[in-house]
Amino acid sequence: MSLSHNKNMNTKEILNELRDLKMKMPDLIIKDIKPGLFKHVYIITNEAVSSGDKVNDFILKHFSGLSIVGSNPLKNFKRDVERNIPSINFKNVDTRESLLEFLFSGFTIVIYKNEVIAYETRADLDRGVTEPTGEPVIRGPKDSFTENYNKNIGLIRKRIKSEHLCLEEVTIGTQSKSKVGIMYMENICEDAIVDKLKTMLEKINIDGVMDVNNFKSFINKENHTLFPTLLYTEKPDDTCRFLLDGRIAVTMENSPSVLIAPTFFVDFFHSSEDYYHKPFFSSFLRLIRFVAYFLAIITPALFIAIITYDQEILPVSLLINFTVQRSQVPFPAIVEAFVLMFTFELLYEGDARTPSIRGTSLSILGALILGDAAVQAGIISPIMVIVIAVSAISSLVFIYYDIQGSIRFWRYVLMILSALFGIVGFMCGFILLIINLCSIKTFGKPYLLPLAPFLIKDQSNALVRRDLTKINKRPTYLARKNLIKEVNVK
Amino acid sequence: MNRYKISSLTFSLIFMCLLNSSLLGIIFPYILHESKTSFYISLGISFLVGLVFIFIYLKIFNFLPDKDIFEKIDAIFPKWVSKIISLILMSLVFMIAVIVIWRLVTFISSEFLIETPNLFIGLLIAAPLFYAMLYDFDVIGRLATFCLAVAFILLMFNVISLFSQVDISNLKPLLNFDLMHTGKSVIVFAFVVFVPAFLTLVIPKENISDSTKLTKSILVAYTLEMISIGLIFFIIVTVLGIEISNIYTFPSYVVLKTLSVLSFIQNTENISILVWVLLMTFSGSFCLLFMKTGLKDLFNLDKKKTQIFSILFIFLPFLGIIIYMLPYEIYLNKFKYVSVPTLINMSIFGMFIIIYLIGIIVNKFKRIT
Amino acid sequence: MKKLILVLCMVLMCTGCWNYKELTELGIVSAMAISKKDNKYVIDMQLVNIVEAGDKGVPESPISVMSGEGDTIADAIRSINMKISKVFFSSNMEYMIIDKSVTDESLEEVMDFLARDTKLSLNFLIVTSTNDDPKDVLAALSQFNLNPASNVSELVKRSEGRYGASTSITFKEFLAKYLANGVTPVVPNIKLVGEVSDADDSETLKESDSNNYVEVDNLVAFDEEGNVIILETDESFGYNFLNNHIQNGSVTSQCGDNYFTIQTLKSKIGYGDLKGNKLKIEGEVQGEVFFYGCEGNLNNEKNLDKLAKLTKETITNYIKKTVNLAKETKTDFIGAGNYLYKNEYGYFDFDKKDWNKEGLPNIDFDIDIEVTLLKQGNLKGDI
Repeated sequence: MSLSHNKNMNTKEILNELRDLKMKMPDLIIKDIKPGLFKHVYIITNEAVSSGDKVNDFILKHFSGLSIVGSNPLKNFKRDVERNIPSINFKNVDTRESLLEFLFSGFTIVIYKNEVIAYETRADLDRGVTEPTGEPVIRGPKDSFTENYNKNIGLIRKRIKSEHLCLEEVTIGTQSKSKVGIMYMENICEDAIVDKLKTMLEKINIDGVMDVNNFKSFINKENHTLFPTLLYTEKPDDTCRFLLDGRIAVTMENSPSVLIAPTFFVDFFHSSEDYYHKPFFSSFLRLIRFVAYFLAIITPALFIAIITYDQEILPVSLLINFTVQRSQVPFPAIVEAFVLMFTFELLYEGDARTPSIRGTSLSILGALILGDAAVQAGIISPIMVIVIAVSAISSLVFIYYDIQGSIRFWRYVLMILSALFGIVGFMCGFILLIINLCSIKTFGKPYLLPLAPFLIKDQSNALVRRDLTKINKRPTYLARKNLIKEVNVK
Repeated sequence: MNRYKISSLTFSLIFMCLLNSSLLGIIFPYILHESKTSFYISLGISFLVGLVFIFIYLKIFNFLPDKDIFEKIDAIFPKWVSKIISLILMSLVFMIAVIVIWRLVTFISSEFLIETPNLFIGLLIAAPLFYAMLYDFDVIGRLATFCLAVAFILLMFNVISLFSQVDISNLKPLLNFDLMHTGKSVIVFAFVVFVPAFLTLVIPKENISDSTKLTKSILVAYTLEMISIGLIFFIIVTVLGIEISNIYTFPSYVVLKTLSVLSFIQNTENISILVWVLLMTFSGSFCLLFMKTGLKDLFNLDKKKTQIFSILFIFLPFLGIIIYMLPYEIYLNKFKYVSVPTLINMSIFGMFIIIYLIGIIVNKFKRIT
Repeated sequence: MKKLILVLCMVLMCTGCWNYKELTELGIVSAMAISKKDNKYVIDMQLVNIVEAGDKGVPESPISVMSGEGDTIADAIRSINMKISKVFFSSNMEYMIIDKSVTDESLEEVMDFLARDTKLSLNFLIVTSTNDDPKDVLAALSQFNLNPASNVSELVKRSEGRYGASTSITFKEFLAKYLANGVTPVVPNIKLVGEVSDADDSETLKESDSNNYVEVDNLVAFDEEGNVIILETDESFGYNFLNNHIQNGSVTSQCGDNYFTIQTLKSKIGYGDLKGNKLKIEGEVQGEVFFYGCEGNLNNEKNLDKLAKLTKETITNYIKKTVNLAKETKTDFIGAGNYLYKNEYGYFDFDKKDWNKEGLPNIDFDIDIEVTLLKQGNLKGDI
C-alpha cells in the first residue's frame, strides 16, 4: 500500500485497495449496508483481531435499524453516528496508513461517502490476569502483567490513584507498529531522565519489536558492561513501588513485562517481599543475597588458588585429606574446575528449556553424573564437586536472569587468573571487577549508588532495611524534587 | 572544564587512601630502625607537622578554586615557563608511581611468587592500573570508598585477633631517643607520607559539591589515618618485639604470620595482604591519572586523543621502566629506597610552595581570572 | 580498551606458571632436627606419609624420617631432596629440635637460616633432647595420637599449664630472647622412655601396657659457650613462677612429715624496684587447697595462715634456687638483665659490657611473695 497522506480519502479507491488486499487476507470482512437507496455504508473489520459480538451488537444493529426509506438520510453522518452508537472509543481516520493501523489493531472501520471513522471493537486475545511465573511470591499480591496494553496500565492505575501519574505514548517498529507507554510520576521523577529516555526510544529504527526486553540494547549505550542496567518485572506492585521512588516504567503492548529505568546495583538484591516482612528478617535476607553473589563469583577461584599456590592457609588434617582425594585425579585443578563448571552450565540450561514433564528424568541424570559416578570413575574429586556446587547454588539465589551473565563471566576470569598467579592473581582480578563496577553509569548517575559515593541518608534502604516508619524520605539520588513522602503535593 | 562532580566525603576518602601509599616496605622498617622504641614520639611530632602541612595544602587548594593545579600554573606563569614547570611536576609524580609499584612488585616476588619472573608480576599489577587510568576521577573516588571499606574490615580483624599476643613490656625502654634519630624519622615520615596526599590538588575545588564541609572532613580523615598508622606500629612492636622487627624488611607482613585464631585460622597473612595491594595500586593509578590530566591541560586535547596519548606517552614508558627496574631489588646501601622517595617528595612539596607564593605575588599585581 | 586487556591476558596465559605446586607433590614436614657431627650439619626431617585412599584402617606408619648432611644447612636439605621426590612444605611444622652440638657459635647461623625462610611460620616450638639422638626422638610413635608431631607439641604445651615444671617456647619468643639484651632463652627437654629400638615400632604400641613413650623432662638453658645448664624440678618451677607461665600449677609443700598441695589460681610475680644493687622480686599467688594431708582442722584460721606461710616458703625457695643457679653459671636466663634494660635504662651499658659476666654477679635479689588461699571449695574444712 502506498504511503498517502491524502486528506481527501476517496471511498472508491479505498475500497478497491481493500478488495485487492482481501486476496491475501481472507480474514478481512467488507460489508456493505444500504440504509437507503444509493447510500452505501461500508463496514470493514478483520475477523481475527476484532470481536464479532461487539461489531454485531453495536454497529450493525444501529445501521440495520435505520429505516430504508426516508427519515433523515444521514445528513450529518458523523454527528449521527457519534450520538447514537454507544462506543466510547471512536477515532477519525485521516490517512490510509492509519486506517490500516486501526484495522489491524482490532478497530472496525465505517466508511460513508468520503468520511472514515474507526470504532474500537477489540477482541481479548490474551490469557487474563494470572500468577507471575518468573517471580514466585509467598506473601503479597499475586497478579502479574499480561499481553494486553490496557490491562497493564489498568493494573498500575488502580494502585496509584493520583493525577500526577503521567503516560506518554510512542510507536516503535516500522512493521510491527507497537505502542509503547512511558509512565512516570511528574511530581517526583526528574525531567531530564524522562527526556533522555524518550529521545533514545524515538531514535530506534527497526522492523519490529517483540518484547520490551528488546529495548535493552538500545537504551543506555553509555557503557560496555555485563552488569544489567535495566530491570524488568512482571509484578504490578513492584512497578508501583518503583514509580513512587521516582523511576520510569516502560510498558509495551504484547509484552507481559515492564522495564524500569534507571536501576542501580543494589536494586537487584531487593525483592518486594522485603517490605512485607519485619525489618530484621528482611535485612538478614538481603545480606545473605549479597554474600551469595560474591560467593558465587569467588569460591572456585579462591579454592584453586589455595590448593595450588598457597597451601599454608589450610590446617594440616584438611591438607592431608585433600591430598588423598586429589591423588586419584590426573588433571590439574583448573581443568577439573572447568569441566565441572561446564557440566553445571549444561544442566542449568537444559533444566530451563525442558517442559516439566521431562524434568524428573533430567534431574536424576544430573545427580547420577555429577554424583557418585564421576567421582568413582576418577575424573573429579569430591571436594571440587562441593566447591562448584556451592558456587552454582549461590548463583541460583538470583531469579533475575541478567545477573547470571555477570556472574558467569567474572567467575571464569577469576578462575583463570588465580590458576596462573595464585592469591595475587585472584586479588588483581577482584580489583578489575571492582573498577568495572565503579565505572558504570546509568542515565548519568553512578551505578553503585548509594554505596560508592557513600550517601549516609540513603543507607536506611540499601543493604539493610530499617523500620518502614523510619524511612520517610525517598531516595535522594532519584527524587530530588520531592523527598518527603507524607506531604500532599498539589 | 572537567565535568565530574564528587562529594566532600569522597574527596576526603581519596585523601586518606593516598596517605597510605608508601607505608609498606618504606616507612615501617625505616622508622623502626631509626627511632626503635620511641617511635611514638616521632609519630606525635609528625602528627603536628602534618597539621602544618594540611594548613599549607588548604591555602593552595582555596587559591583560584576553579582551576586544577595545571591550569593554575598556566595562569600564573608565562606560556613556555608553565609548560616546562608542568612537565617537571609530571615527571616527579611519574617517579613516585614507579617507586610505589616497584616496591609492591618486589614485595610480592619476595614473599609469595618466589619463582615467577618479576616481569610477569609487573604485567599483572599493571593491568588494573591501566584499566583505572582510562576513566576519570569520580571512578577513582568510588574505588577509594571500596578500598577503605575492605582495609577497615581487615585491619579490625587482624588487630582484634592479635590482641591476645600483645606484650606491653616490649614498648620499653621508653625514652631512649636522641634528637638526630628522631629528627631524621620525622622528616622522612612527614615527606614520604603526606606529600602524595597533596596530589589531590589536581581536582579543582569547583568540582566538589559541598565544599563547606571540606576542611572538617579532611581533618577527620587525617586524624583517623594517623590513628590507624599508630595502631599498626603499636601492634608490630608489641607482638614481635623491637629486635625482630628490625631484622625484617616487611615487618607489617611478618607480624601477621603469628596470627592464630581458634587454632585453625592460621597463616592467613596471604589474604590480609589484599589491603596493601589495593592501596598501592590505587596510589599508582592516581599518579597516572594525575599525569593524564596534565597531558590534557597542557596540550588542550579532546577526550579520545587524551586516551591514546596517555597510553602512548604515560603507560608504555611506565611499563618499560618498571620492567627495567624490577630485577634490581637489592641496593648497596640499606636504606636507599628511603632516601630517594624523600628527596622526590621534598622537591614536589617545594614546587607547590613556590608556585603558591609566586601566584600570590602575581595576583597582587594583576588579577588572575 | 578491552581488546588491549584481552591481548595482555593471552600473553600471560601462554607463558606457564612457576609457583604452581600440586597437592600431591608436597612433602609435609611436621618436625625437624638440626645437629652437627664432625663439623657438618645433619638435618633430620619427619615427613607425613599420605596414604592412598583404598587402604582402610590405620596405616603402618604415619611418618617417615629422612636425614641428610652437608657443610651448610641448605646443602643438608638439598641432599635430602636427592632421596625424595617431593617439594618440602614446612609451613605447618610443629616443632624443631636443636641439639646441643649446635648451641655454641653455630646457633647464630641456625637462627639466620630459620628467620630468612619466608614460608616458615613463627609459631613452631623449639625443644631439645639432651639424652637421646634427635633422629630417634623424631622416629618415635605414640599410642595417643596418630600424628606424633602434634603429640609432642601438645604434650609440651599442656605440661606448661597443668603441671608447671616445664614450659613451651615458640620460635618467635626464642629469637626475641636470643637477640635481646640481658636474657638467654630456655627450652624444654624431651626424652624417650623405654627401649629406643622399640619406640618406632608400631607393633609394640598395640600392646596396652607398652612403656615406650616420649616424656617431657625439665628445662634446659644454654650458656654462651654452648654448655648445657640443666634446671631441676625446683629450679624449673622457680623459672616458671618468675615468668608467669604457671596457669593451674600444683605446689606441694611439707607440713611436718606430711604433705599438702595447693593449686594456684592466679600467680603474678615480677621484678620491682632497684635500690643500689638490690633488685626486688615481688608478687602474689592465689590458690586453693587441692590435697590436704596434714593435721589440724582447716576451719581454724590459724591453720590456713600456716598453710599459706608454708607455701610461701616453698615458692620463695624455688625462686632462690633458680636465681642462684643463674648467678653460679653466669648465664642470665631469668631475664633480670632485660628488665633492667627496659626499666632502668642508664644502670648498665649493655652495648659495651657483658652483662653475664660483669653485671649479673653484682645483683642481689630480694624476694617477697604473698600467698593467699582464696576459695573455700566443696568441703567445709577437712574430714
